[in-house]
Amino acid sequence: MALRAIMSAGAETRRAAPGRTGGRFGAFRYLALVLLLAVPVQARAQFSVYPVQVQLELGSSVGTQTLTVQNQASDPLDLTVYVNDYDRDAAGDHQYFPFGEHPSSCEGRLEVFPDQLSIPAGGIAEVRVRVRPEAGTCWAVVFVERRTQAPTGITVAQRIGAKIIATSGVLAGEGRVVGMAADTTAEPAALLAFANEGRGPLDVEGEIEIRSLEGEVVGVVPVESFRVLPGRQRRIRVPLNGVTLEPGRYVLVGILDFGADYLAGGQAMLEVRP
Amino acid sequence: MKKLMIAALAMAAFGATDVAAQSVNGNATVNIPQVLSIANATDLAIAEDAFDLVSNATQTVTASTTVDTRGNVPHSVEVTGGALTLAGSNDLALEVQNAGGTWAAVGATAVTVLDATTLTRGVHAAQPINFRTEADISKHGPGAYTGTITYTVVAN
Repeated sequence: MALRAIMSAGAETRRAAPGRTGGRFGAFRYLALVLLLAVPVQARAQFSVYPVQVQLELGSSVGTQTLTVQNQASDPLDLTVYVNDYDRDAAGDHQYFPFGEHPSSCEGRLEVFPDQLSIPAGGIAEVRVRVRPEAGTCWAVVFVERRTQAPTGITVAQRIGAKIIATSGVLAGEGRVVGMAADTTAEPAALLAFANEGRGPLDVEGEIEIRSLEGEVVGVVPVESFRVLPGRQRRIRVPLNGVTLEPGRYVLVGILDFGADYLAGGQAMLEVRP
Repeated sequence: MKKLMIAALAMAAFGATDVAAQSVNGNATVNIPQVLSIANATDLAIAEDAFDLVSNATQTVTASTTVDTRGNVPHSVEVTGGALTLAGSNDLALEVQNAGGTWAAVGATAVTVLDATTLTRGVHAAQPINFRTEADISKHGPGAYTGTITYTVVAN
């Protein structure tokens, strides 16, 4: 797995193209840049983690959860376990921070044990997660990582993140669609923006109805589940795959279920041109 | 063994009664955890002859790796470079192509290279990840370059 980047000069065996000798770059006549590994070796290690999203609704007692790590490879596996803070932007991309550096960090509340795992081939190990109850919502990500240390060159690491979020009791979901539009720049798609206006995380899913101007439903496209952290917005793009639309104008109706006793909705106009 | 025999006798005796007339309603809850798996992240390998600084003093070279993932929830793969970039006698910056097709620096900021629209529930073998670097004859001398590439799999 070690990846080595080497810059070397003077490799006499290199192919010499006509006209490349001497001249302006004479001093670098044989200069070549080699960015590479001697032997590309695949990291055969395969491991899994579950569950990868944990929500602890804490009352007055400590919340606990066990993460199961399974070595699915034919060799023993050494893994490191550690915690980061994280956040997500509206596009859904993650930003990771050292534990304790984010305002919503679980630092001081979250304990994870152990921090090293040695798992025999085909075996499993457990990581214990413990969160103390306090007011407010906090979240973090527990990484289980396999890293191949190379004496020189590039180290390649594989890690799986298990998200932990702790809330004070069961919170009512609050959210709404704050924007919806049709995207016709390529294949038609619906663009949705959803805001989580509550104090707990929301798992959102739903569908996009494609209606004629007369109100007839001509197609339905599911919206895959996505998670939105408290106080955050999320923008998603839903390709209108599997629906054949004749040229004309349509109304896109987005209907999202986020676990509350009401649904969130939005609509936008779609024009399909010949 | 003795316990097993007793249990077998008890079941046989129970089976002799008229159980067909009995029915019990109950709820069954099956809780399937969200699981993610990662495997087979390949090395980044750029062939030596991809670099030809004699003909082109500055040139961009590309290479690809692959990674396998599987999961029962939509997920994404991100690439980070930790606190390191490729560094030798001079910096040689490495970039990776994100899920939208644009190039982004490999560094501390996670770059989503495969998003949940690609990595839906299921098995995803050998998903390609594209890297590139720009070599400049005036800056990049011979030497060994080191760094870290981390592939992160996380639920959507």
